[in-house]
Amino acid sequence: MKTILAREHIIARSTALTVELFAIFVVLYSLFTLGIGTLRVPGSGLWPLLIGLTLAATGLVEFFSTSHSLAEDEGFTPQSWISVFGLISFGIVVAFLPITGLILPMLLASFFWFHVLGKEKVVVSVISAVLCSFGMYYLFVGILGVRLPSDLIGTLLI
Amino acid sequence: MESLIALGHGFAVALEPQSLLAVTVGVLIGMAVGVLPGLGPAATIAILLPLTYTLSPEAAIIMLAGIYYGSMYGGTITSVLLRLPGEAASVVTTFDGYPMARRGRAGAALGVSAVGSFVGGVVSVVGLIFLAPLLAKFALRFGPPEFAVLGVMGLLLVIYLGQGSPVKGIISAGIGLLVATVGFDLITGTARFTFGTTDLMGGLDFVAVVMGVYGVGEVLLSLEGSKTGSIIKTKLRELWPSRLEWKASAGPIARGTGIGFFFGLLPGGGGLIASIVSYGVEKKRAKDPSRFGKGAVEGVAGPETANNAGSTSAFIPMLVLGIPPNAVLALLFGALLVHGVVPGPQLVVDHPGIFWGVIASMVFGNLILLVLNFPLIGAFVQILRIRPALLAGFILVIALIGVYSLRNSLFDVWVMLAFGILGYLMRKTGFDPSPMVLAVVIGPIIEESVRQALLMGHGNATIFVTRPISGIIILLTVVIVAIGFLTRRRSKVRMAAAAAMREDVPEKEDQPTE
Repeated sequence: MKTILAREHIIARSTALTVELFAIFVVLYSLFTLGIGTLRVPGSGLWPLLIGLTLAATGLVEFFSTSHSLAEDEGFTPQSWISVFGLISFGIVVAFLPITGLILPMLLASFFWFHVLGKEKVVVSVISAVLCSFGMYYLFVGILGVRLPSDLIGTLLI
Repeated sequence: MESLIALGHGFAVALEPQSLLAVTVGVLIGMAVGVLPGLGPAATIAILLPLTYTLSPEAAIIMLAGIYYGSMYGGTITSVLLRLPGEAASVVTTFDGYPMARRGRAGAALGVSAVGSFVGGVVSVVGLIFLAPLLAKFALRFGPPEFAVLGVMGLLLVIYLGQGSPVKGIISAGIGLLVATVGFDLITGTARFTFGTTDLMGGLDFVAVVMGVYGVGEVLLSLEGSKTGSIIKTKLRELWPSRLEWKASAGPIARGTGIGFFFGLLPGGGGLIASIVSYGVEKKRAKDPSRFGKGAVEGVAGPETANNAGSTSAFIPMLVLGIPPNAVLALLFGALLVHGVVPGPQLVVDHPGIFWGVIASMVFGNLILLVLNFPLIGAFVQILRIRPALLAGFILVIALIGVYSLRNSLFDVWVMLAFGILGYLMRKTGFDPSPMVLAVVIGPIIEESVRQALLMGHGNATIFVTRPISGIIILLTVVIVAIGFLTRRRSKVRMAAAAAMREDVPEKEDQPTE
């Protein structure tokens, strides 16, 4: 229990520190790069400066706050690795989109999501992956006429 | 009279085949996402927004609005049957809805909820018809100081009346306000936070940001699968409430309508606050408050009515003032902008078809929801059987295609991914992303108004307090924040008491599902 609480405090403090550093950057950027002008003729940095100062103040309050209990969905668990792998695979799909088009990376990534991350049976995963890649491509490009980067497989279909 | 003639025109728009199809599809999708815990109306509207580009602006907004109030009906089903609130505003329904279900009165709870929601929704629409044009005329007197103060008030109230920590809420809103400043400053022509990147010159696309925070962020959370549904075989008994239950529900439905309508009008309002207040009022009025938390039908009827009435009247500040009162309506605001329609006092005059068409469609939407509610309850509950990973795959591909197709820009897709990570991390660290999303939308309005007001006042910042309307708005904000702070503390105590009572419900009673 103590370990969990300590971990919650570390996460909360790190988050508050990140906010604080970000706020300091915003304040400095607004002051020296953008320029704040005057109240009579406000510069482009005045509004970001006000936001930066608010963030800096609230970041400090959050840093020194003592109650850091996280709700049901919050906090990192071993299950959070699933999200990390899901995110990386989605990033790979986006990276390959201009090279191979949508279908091939989506087919592979969705099979990975369904079978590996979702622990679905192979047959269910294959059918769902085909629907998720070929099916969605056909729906959006073939029927709805949405324009996507040229697709290695899609050009053979439509 | 003028309003009624315009409403007639609105009904003509709402009765067009495309509009009828849009409202039907919208409320059905809304009901389905209301059932699914995790995927709320905001995420769904964000994901489906690009699909509406091919529709007329009227049909697009009618469909998206249908998703919003349809989700309020859907959220009730799982709250009552499984104690799983599909969306935030249904949390209160679990207090008495679930104990009712355990006593074999699930059908009655759902029946009362459906009828209450219908009454609340339709009466709110009537209020909308008469109040909105009056408010629009009044809002024509607003200048930059009033809009600046209204925008800040909206943000503050979303933070203070919301569920999370106010400090974290301010941080979330601050990040949103900064996101809105990226790109060219329209007044001075200076590039802000672009770091020499041409892709950032035009600013971060709202749809990409929102789809990242809500779409990708929610999907990543759902992959962890903390709230998966179990296999359910639904066989509801006695779908219609008894005469006694109707009698007990009549008062709460009437009061819930009034409470919901009022709280929906407030910035930060909408269904959630309205339902909490209604629950408190009904418990206070009850002869035997100890029944609450153990299956009191009044505890379902009042909050459910208030929830739907509040969701409907919340359209007034968004359509009439151009200030969305919560994150879901911020998305609808963004959707209107995407379709080239600027919400605000001029909307009634410039786009009467959209304004009155959306209002008229709500009557049909509520009617469809009432009629479909009973026969489709069983089918909707089965949606919970869909595994999160399967749903995630389809949502991600729709989000990817939707964001790319917006401007044929791969950069926007990366923006969506980056904000997906931010949205996920925010939830994991206890930050509510709603103030951020709202701030992204109303940030430019507030900034422009603040700067114009300062120019008007020749650099004198007291212009915000000395003008009567903006001064009154500031005073109201202070009062509401104070009341909100007090009721928040009291409702926390009440909820804890209700939760404690819920635990005491006997286990041996009839099961609603088998």
